[in-house]
Amino acid sequence: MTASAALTIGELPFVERPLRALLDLEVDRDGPNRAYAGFGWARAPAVWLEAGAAPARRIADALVVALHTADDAEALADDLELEFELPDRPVTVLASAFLERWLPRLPQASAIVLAICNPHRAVLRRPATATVPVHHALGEVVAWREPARADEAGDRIILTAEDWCIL
Amino acid sequence: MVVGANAGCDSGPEKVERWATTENTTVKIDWDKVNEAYKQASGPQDLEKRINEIYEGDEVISIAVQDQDNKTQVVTGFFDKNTNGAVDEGEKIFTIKREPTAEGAAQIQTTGYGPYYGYHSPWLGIASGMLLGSMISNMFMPHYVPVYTTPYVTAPVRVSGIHSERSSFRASNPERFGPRSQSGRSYGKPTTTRTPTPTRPSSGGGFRRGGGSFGLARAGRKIRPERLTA
Repeated sequence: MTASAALTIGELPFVERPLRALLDLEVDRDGPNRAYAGFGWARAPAVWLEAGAAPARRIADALVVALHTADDAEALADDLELEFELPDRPVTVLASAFLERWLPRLPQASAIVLAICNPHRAVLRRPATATVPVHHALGEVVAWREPARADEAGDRIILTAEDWCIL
Repeated sequence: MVVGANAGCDSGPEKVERWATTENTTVKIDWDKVNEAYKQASGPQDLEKRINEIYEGDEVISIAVQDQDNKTQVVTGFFDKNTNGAVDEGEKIFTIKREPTAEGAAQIQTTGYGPYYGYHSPWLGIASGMLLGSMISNMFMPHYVPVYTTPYVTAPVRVSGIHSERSSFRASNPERFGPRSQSGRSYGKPTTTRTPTPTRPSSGGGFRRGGGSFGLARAGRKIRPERLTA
């Protein structure tokens, strides 16, 4: 791909990645990595959505879609301008267009979790191609992991935001 | 505090006010709307939804519904702080009592507790001809049988779901919840600044480790990326 190569939404290198790699949880660090620009999707047996002081909510059998918005992205009332750091250049895509194109290509799960910062608190519309509940955030989204509880297998994977909404 | 039209109903020390404010917070509850929610609710879960959409604080209000006799019902609103699905000491914030007054008629009264202590609504009359939700109107049916002799209580596992549904509701109503609610929490406020990441200690006894953030710091660049549309 060159800087001048035409690219379509469907040609973006949006691929499956191991969950911990997708959420940048492989390195042992105290706080979030705000330089992280990785994206992709992963199946998760469970992820926990946490907002403020509310109890974390366990989402079982989730399809995690991890994407980024830039802090200078266009402020839209009902959409997000996603940004993809490609090897030769960044490009942007509206989330609505991206999800309509990509969700039908992804495996089915019991829920879809959008790990995407939503700095302008856009009220997203439910993707027409979604067949299961879609969870999206308001505010910044950060991934975390915690040691498993006694009754859990593997680390607990947590996504924090100001609020989580269901479409 | 906004004093509503009912403020003059009682000039005593426990005067009736449409709005009440907590002692420890500035979260207000519009009791007129709470009473109306009960009158219109189709059942306990619908009432949970309606009340949590009315409440402007961060907490989720759980409810317990119990039929005390053939037609007397008490709804208790509470903050289930210890997430045990029961109304414990210090958790109760209000009750709504419904009791029959005559054939085809009843009355309800709301009473505040805890941070809302001192609030009493007037007894509000209801009758079978009124536009009512089935939670109340069923009592006027000829063969009505109370179904909450074993109380309904908001299950702790439902609380997160109620919170998420309410977040969606608040995000969809920025004119009401933005830019800042009475609790001091921002709802629907457009912002271009990065908000603090909500963090809290691990509840499992281990260390929480950070991962990626799903925003990119790009402010100030002169050339914006190409947008793909096809």
